[in-house]
Amino acid sequence: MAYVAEISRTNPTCLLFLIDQSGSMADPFGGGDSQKKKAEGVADATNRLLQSLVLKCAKEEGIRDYFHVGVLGYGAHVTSAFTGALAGKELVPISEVGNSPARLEERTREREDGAGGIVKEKTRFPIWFEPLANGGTPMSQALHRARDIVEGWLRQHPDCFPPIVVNITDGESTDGDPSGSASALRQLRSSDGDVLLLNAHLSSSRAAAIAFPDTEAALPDQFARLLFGMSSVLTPAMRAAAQQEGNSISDATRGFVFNADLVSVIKFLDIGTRPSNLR
Amino acid sequence: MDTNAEAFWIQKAGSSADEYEDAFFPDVLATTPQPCSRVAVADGATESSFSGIWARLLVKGFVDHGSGDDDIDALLAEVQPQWAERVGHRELPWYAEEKAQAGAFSSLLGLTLRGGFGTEEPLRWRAAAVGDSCLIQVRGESVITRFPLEHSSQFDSAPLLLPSRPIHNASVRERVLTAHGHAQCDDSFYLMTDALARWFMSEDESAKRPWQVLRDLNTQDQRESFVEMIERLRAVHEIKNDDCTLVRLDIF
Repeated sequence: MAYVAEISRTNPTCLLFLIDQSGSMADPFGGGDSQKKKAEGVADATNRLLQSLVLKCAKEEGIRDYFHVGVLGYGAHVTSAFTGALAGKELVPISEVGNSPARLEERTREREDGAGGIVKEKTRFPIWFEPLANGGTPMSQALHRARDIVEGWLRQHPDCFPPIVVNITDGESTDGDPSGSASALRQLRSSDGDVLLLNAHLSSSRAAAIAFPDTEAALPDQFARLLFGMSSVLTPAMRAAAQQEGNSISDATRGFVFNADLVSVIKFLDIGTRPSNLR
Repeated sequence: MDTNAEAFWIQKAGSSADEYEDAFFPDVLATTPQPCSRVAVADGATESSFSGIWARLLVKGFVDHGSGDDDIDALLAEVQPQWAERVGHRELPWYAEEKAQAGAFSSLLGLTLRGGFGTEEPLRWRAAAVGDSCLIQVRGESVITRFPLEHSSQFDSAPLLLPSRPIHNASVRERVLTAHGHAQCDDSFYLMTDALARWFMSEDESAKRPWQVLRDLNTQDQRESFVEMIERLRAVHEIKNDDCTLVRLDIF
């Protein structure tokens, strides 16, 4: 059986985020808030995914290194997108990520009080990445670089839960068809299964959001179809997580979202008991 | 009739002993087996912070609870402020503050024996549970009670658990399960957290009589200790790598 390896501090896995920072990301974002640019959508999605991962691993004594995380930006250059203390680093333990956000933003959120009312509470939201839009979209090059990084990780951790690569983009590659590079990346494997490639497509299109489709039939354009084709079929546990979030799924469901987010399948990676009270 | 209760525990492989987040009470049972009519086990959730503290408060609160009943609402009202006090109002990093605000979560399984023991009344037991820590009652060479889960296929990694923050109380109020029954001389009760309970049920479903090995722990009939047994089962992937806790209560 694949995708059953324990994720632990003694057998960590890696998550690599590829974030599109090309010039086209300055265009308006079609999903949700229409005032937003796609670059803001990418930065927001990346910050939310990292926040979710850090919280998953946080205990009273600190952050446990169940994951090592990298973020490659691609636009004018293909390079580590970390700033500050993490600048230039490719894969870092999640504890270092959690302790080194570029800044903390004060936010107010509303929460049910458990007695039918709503309470407002202040929270500090970590920001690692600011919106950036500059240059072309060398997605093939980014996927190629990702393959090198993941291959290096697998040499050191041959029995880990398979590494997960999350590509957040508007899909408009400018250095050729990225399908071949994506396929080469997905063919890497640990003893527990093939590397997983998930794609989040942030588009200027106002078409309805789509999460975890099992066919390209309803996808709005060729970029969405390209990214769908590059995405891995979800693991059984990820399918269950996507289903719990209200998505209809099948054995062919892929790790692809259009103007939606991927937090659910990351949030449910199994590191131990997760209270079902916390949806 | 009398009772003898004894506790066994081991933390998850790869964790240190102070990262053990299961709990049992009376905690003295790990070193000094003794008569007991009210015991509890709990399992703090990995993905919540300060959950070991929460599990320990729950089992102690349950066993010490003045009225001796299974009123979980009253138990929460008593121990939730103690948890808040222990976690305190320290300045925490952003992630620790977020986790503290969300609160801790834990299963709870409590068992109470009444009657018997020199009285005219028959010996009876009562249990209350939230989550996936399980009670097994063995009589002779048969399991006669499985509670609250009844089959190894019912375990998953996302049970509904008791919250340390009152904001989540409504989510569990309707989900406290209770059970009761009779007990007699030579019955044994096994209170187990999920990994061990799942192994037990799976073995029982294959007619392997898992109580035989647990019954003989710490006796001359069983050379292997609890810790050695769990490490062996982990090595062959017959038990999930998780904190493991057993409270065994024998009636004689």
